[in-house]
Amino acid sequence: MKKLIMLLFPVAIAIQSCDKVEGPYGEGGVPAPDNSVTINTGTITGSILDYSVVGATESDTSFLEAKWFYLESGDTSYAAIIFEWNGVKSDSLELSVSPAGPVHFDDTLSIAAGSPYGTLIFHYIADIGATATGTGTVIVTVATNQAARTVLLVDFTGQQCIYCPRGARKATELENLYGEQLIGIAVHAGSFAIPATSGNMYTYDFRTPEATQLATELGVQSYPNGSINFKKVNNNILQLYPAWGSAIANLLQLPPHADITITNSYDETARQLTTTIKTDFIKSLTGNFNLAVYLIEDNIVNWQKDADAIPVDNPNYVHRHVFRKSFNGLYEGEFIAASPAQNSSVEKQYSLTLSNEYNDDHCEVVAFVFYENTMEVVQAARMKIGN
Amino acid sequence: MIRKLIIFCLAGSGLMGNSLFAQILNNTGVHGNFELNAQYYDPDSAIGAPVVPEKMLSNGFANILITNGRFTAGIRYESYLNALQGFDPRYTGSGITYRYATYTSDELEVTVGNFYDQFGNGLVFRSYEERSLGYDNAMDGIRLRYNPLAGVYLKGFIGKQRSYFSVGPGIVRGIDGEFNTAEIFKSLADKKTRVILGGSFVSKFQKDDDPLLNLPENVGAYAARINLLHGGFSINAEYAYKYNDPSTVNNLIYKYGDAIYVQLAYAAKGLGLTLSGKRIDNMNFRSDRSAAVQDLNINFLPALPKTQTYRLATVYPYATQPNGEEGINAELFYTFKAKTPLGGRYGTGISINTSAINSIFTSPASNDTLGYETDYLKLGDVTYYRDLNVEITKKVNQSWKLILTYIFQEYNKDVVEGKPGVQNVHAHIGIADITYKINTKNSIRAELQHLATKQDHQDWAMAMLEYTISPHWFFSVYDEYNYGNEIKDDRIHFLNAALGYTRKANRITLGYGRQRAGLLCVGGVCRFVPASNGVTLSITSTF
Repeated sequence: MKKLIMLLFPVAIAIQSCDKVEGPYGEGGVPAPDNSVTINTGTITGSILDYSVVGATESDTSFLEAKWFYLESGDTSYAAIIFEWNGVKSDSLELSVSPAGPVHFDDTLSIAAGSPYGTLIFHYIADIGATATGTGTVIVTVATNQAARTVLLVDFTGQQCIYCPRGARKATELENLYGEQLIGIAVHAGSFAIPATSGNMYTYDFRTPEATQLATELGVQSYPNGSINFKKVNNNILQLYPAWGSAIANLLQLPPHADITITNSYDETARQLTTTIKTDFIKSLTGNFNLAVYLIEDNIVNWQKDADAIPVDNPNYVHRHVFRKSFNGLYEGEFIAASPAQNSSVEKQYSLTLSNEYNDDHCEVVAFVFYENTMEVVQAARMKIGN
Repeated sequence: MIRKLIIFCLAGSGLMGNSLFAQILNNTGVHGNFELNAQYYDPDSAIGAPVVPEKMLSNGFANILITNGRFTAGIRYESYLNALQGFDPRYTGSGITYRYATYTSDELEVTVGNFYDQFGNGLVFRSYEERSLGYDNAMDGIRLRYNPLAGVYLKGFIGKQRSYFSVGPGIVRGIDGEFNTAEIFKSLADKKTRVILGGSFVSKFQKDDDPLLNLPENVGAYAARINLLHGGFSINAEYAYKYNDPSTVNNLIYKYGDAIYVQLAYAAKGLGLTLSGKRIDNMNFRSDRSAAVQDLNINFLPALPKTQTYRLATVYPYATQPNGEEGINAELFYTFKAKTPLGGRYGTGISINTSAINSIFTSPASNDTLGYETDYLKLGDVTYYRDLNVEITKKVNQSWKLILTYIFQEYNKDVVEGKPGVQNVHAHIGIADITYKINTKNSIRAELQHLATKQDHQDWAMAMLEYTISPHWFFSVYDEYNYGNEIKDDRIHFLNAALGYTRKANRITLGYGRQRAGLLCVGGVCRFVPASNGVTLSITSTF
């Protein structure tokens, strides 16, 4: 009997360790706790640092407030806080310390309020004692002219890949969420991008030599696939689309290390485009850095296989952000800086003549700066060619 | 030799006294094996074989195992410089990918490090490797096996899964109990009927920081099974249930998953009969919700169709569809006795194996995030796979042996390869496998194969000749020819030749030839395996 009782112990632990989640969660973030919630207008403990706004269409002065804050004290000290800015809540910050003691918050948050407010990014630091009963406040005003971190999403796809539209739809959802902070590129490569040699379906060739080289360099073998800033997550430089959101969210919590400004000059008659890329290094960085500048074309209507459409062969599929050309003909761009100092700048200018098959109203320049050895992107930007 | 070397090094280092050294020497066993597969690649535009910048690629590994009484430890060193074509490039590099130590103390066995294991039929947990496919979901953590009472077998583990040269992001933990009634209750020990009951619970944890979705961080799955034996009859049945688990493979739906697997078998002298059935619904279960193809599977969904080995029978290989399928398989073995009209002088073996696999019935769900609803009593109307295999094995006399096979396959290329709009392939395959034993040392084996189909790449023929000089040498040459292809330029010969040498525990095989391209699709992600042409070298060794 004693042994049987011993057996029940690991069984109980195993079952206890599993959430039997029934159905999808509801909207919104972490639900509010049932008790110890206090909303008031005192002064919040700690500091708001490094705040900036990106994507705002007009200058704005807004309040950032702690929407709710609570603390429970006992054997375990537990605190949580959610900020609100222009009516939009941040993710919650939750921490616990055992035994009871000060709770140390040190995290970067972003709140995407959309146009005209843009996305607010800020760093919150606080040590809150175990005996505090809760506070919240109006804290800070923000200006809209500061650089913010941006992220590059490269979506490897093919027109005859039936599951690839799932990746494209996820990219669109994330662009709707993050606005100008997310720079998407669709790279058509691999066996699914090979155009048909007969019939009238899938005969258009979206591929470019640079796109194929990029896919080969990253070892893309399965589709759809993607890479976020060419940064490894769990030792993989490629991620399937369900992992894109969390990878982007994590990167966007970091402060920007560089700012990229694109200035385009386009002669519609000659279809001649000149683009000037200015890279400002906000912080000093170690390593060699490359700049890649691509021409992409948005909203190309053409055939696409789509597992979730009826019929699966869709002649009117809208292909987003198609990688058309690298300005210097190389996917890896060119070297621009070695261990740049804080506040140093590099300016580069490139020109090309647009092919007649491109719709210049839908063309954009995408530029990104990345570590030469790891390819990890530091910052990215895009600009329509007509400015 | 290696054992002596290890002991010599330890003794030389002065870490051991002589008596302890001798004791360890006497009780320690060192075993292992080595395998190297290398290929030199020639670009071949006719079959679409790509240029390989490295020209030569290789996969190699060695297992080294040390045992001493109740203690076992081992490592595996793997090297992919760079990985062979068709293997995931994340295998590039070298290193120790598997290391473990196990000891047994009375009724408790403890393993730390890497381990492979399985609960029941694997519906909720199976960790295993298949090196030739580049599949390895080894656990890295702690496993306990506990045998507290006669007939009671408990297992528990916690760990992460191997992902190439790293581990996946999710934590997997599970517990399994198996109860053999004939061992627990002495009164049942002599009964003809034996019952073994089992139950499992497995859960995974993966952090949710998705900005758009609220995803379950802990996903649990449980299973219950029974194995009933009565004389030559046996029943093996298992049911598994998985809580909602949005993932790449199920396109992020929140529906639960379940699976049932039943196998009935009867065996008697000269006769074997097996009837299997299964139904799978949304049972993809991985320790990373974004993983696909062959990465980070926690469970294993057994395949019903017969595993094919003849080359043209593998042109259309069916792969289990984890998002949903239901099917049955029946298999009959019978041996006509020797010295009967059908058995002849040496007896005649016949086996018949047939499978039918369909989609599951689905209808729209009330809530989009749940994906769909199913009805257990209705059959899905999409044919995924059908096959019929008839194989006759006949030893004609001391010199001649025949294996004659007919196979029919219906293959849903749309579902298995992600090629919508393509017709199901109906293939008829005939195979003659003939062995002629010249004398006690020399034999010749020939295979003649033909695949006839009006779909896909149309007809294929294949011929193989193999000469063996026992016990050391073999030579083989074969050609696969897609002679019936509607596109004349694609009527390609896939010619291969190989020679092998075996001596004691070492085997060396050298080959040259072309390999067909392939496509592998699993639940929403497709991976292309390119064609190849070149020289291959394979070396295996055990000690």
